[in-house]
Amino acid sequence: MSAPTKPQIAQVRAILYKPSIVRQISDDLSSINVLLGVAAYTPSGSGPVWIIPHTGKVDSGITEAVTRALRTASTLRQMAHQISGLSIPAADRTNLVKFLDSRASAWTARANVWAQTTPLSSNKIKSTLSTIGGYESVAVAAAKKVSAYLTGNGP
Amino acid sequence: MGTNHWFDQITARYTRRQTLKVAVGIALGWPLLQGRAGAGTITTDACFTGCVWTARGQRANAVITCQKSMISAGWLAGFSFVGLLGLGAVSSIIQAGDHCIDSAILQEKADFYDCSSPNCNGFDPKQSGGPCDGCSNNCCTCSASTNGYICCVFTCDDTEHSCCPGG
Repeated sequence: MSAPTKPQIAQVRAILYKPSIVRQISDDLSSINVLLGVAAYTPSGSGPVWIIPHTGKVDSGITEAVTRALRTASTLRQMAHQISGLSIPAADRTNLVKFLDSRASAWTARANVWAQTTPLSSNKIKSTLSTIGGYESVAVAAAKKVSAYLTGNGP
Repeated sequence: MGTNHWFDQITARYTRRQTLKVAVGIALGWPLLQGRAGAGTITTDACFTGCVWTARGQRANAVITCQKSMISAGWLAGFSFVGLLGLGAVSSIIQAGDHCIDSAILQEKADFYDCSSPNCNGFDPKQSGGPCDGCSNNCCTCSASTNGYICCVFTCDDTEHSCCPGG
């Protein structure tokens, strides 16, 4: 297996760490953290309204978090598509695409379960966590194989 | 390698940047968060407010546990969803943290549905972390209380006395 050249790494990083994309994903993640009440400094007693009792619908804050999660997934898939067209070692290309697509699938799964308007059973929670965890495991395994292309400067 | 190790460097950068991100995120999302917190009180069921308050407290505690586990694993910016495109070498830590956060979020969502059920699906305000946790007197619903309940020496159906401001 051939090691990537500096220009090849630069090509990949130009896609992964394009400033406007990094900024958008960072903003979306930060907003999701706040909207779902998992950000640091979330005020005590506050949090998302998962269902409006009178209407049975999810609150606008959840809808916003879902939109941002789906946008993140879409962005990751677009990156994967762009990288699939690069002239880099084939194995690296495969792993980079797998890394991004799997992360995208995890975010899509999160969005879907957040948007769900029916009660969540403990079995459903377990299966959803297993599904998301499965995608993330694939992503992590793939990422470890292409760490030469990754930096600590991403979102 | 000492303090110049790459891991120290990236975590330091994340710490500063994440702090800024959260500040910006809170600034942007604050009106929604506040609105949603208020909307959570829209219910005709007296137990709902306290039930949701408890679910939120449990989620907050779970998130803190997630953060602590990430920090102890070496991820200094150990909160919330992070590191989407970070180094593969630290991805395992991020993955564990995200799984923990995912779990906390979904459990709160499930609890919220329970709170929306008749009688809040048997919610006990005296349960650990509940609004009347540690209350040895009567635990009465109280719309004036932020957690929906008040610990009172009088019985909840006492028409002559009440601990709840406004009756």
